[in-house]
Amino acid sequence: MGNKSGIRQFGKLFGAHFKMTFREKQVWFWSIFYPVLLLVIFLLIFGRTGSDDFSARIAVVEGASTPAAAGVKEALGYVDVLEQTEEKPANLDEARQWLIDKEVDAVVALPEAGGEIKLLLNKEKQNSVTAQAVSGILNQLVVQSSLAAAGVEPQLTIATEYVSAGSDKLSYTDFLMTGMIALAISQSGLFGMMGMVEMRRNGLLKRLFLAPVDLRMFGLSSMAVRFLLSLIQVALLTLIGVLFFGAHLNVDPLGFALVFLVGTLSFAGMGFLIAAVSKSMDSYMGIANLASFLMMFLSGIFFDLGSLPEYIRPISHVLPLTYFADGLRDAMVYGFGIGSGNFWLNLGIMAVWGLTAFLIGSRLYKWNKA
Amino acid sequence: MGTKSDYVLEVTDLHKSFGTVKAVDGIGFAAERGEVFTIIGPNGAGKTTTLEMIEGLQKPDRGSISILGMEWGKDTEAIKMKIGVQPQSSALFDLLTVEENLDVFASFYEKRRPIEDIIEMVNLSEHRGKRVKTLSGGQKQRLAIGLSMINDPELIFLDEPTTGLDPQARRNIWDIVRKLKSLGKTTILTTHYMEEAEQLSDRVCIVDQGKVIAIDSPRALIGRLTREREVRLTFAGGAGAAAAAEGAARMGAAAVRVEREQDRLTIWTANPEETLYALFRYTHEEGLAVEQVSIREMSLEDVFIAFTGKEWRD
Repeated sequence: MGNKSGIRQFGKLFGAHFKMTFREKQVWFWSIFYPVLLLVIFLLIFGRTGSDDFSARIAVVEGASTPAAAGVKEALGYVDVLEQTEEKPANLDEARQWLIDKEVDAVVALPEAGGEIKLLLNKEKQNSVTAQAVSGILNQLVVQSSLAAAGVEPQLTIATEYVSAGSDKLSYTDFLMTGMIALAISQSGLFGMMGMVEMRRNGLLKRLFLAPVDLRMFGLSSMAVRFLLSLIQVALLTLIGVLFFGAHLNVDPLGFALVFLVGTLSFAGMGFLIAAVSKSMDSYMGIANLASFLMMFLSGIFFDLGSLPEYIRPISHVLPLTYFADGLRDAMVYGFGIGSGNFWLNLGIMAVWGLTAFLIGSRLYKWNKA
Repeated sequence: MGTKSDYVLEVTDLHKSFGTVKAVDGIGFAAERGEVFTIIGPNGAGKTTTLEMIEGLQKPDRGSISILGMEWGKDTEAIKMKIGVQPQSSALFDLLTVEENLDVFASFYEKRRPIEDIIEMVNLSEHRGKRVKTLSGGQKQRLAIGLSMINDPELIFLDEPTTGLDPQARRNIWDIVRKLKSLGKTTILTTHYMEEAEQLSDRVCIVDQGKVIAIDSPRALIGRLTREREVRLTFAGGAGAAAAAEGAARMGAAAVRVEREQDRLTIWTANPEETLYALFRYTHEEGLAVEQVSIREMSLEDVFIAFTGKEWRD
């Protein structure tokens, strides 16, 4: 077979695979719409619970104007996370009503003449993060104001420093966005080989064997379309994450390209194994669903692995999706490239999974059976 | 029969077993250039296994296959370039259109017949832009045959092209087979339908239990059956008239057997013309009115029954 006819075959087969993929409604739904929907829902529900976004609405009831009270009042104004109501409550009773109506999270009542500063919190929420945080902040303000009023310098101070593995802090948005990209590509791979079951069932595979088709071209063109689909998934999820949810990117191009390549191939290999062991479409869907469901929740896609019970974590540490998600996070958010040690671990474990699945699959797949 | 070089396909002493089951047990035949050669036989006779071995999908345990003077294994790519196959299941790209299917398959071959030609030949001009999914069974089958002609092959295999189709769709496919013949192509056909084999074939190969029972033209095969034909007459005068005619029929030398049931007379005769002539002369003289006359045509079905001793089931 000449080179020229090989290229012609590749072109036509690529066109055929492209049309077959994008004319399939299932592909649009499961590979494109579904991951986008998941990303948006999760970010809308959980995207705002990060500590960056904490804020509480408080009402301040003014008392007598002592220097200490004035100091506390002024200091409250500097605390960004405490948002004071525009309109001042007339008295403590009105403020209390606001609290009951949940119009404010807390009420700070400055003393009439000396005495204590009152902090009113909603009882139903007494254990909430807001209650804890507001009382903590207020306590600190009072201590500082008292010290200042007494002219004493505190002997101990706390310097806070946020520590994170990368150059930027990994927000939940970044975490979920990269996780969803990994999930979307893995799903496309796991579910994307159902065509191999269908082609065996309807005899198309046999028909191809009857023609002088170059099966390498057939496989290559199919993989090329898969990469295209994966790229669309990456682009779409990244755009939504960055434009609408403020995700941060710090991409290492080479690292990303390699993780993307190996990940896409590896999950396609696993899909091929499922096709090889499935006699029918139903059994294919069953196995693929089971595999994807397991990985979705055990590979740190939606939540950090640290939130999983101790006894489950060893399973997470063998699943390929764990390493794909980690690899993508490293390469897309932290800007880690091929120089980092985890890079090769991520790549290696995915490669082992993909290669093993592919080799077993090609032993088991009945090319010739109708 | 032509000279040896006229054989497009030569199959010799093919054997294939699956476990203890002998699916093909010494099948051999040769197809001449330009003929429609039909393999018929009941389900499980070994037709499909034979065809798949010839098409290179299965390896025979024993025996040889020569296609246009080439052999599988040695000339695999070259054979694939020169033959066209329509497999039993209409295997097509469901999400591609008629035209796109032809276009993809065309890219596999060095020699190509224009897609226009094929669409016209299999009569799919109106459906060229439709996705295969939306086509009827007959249209899909026509496209599958179209795909088998995409490389303008010398030798075409059609494996049960009309199974499951309605009579009109079946006739459309017959037209295509006739067109192929007029183009000088050699067609190897398998079918379930005796009528189809009789209508289309130059020669028929009857296969049963993995063996060739008979090979010849349909006419010659029918001619090999016993000479007696079945003649039926019904009389307007009822049982009495029939009984009178029965006596006259028995006098004829050609009649082998005569049976009467009420007003109906059945005669098996080696010479229907002579028997009928004598009988009509008698009824004319006696003034007996004959209501119905029929001579049953012998068909390949009778050939099959006679050669295998089995009932034929579609």
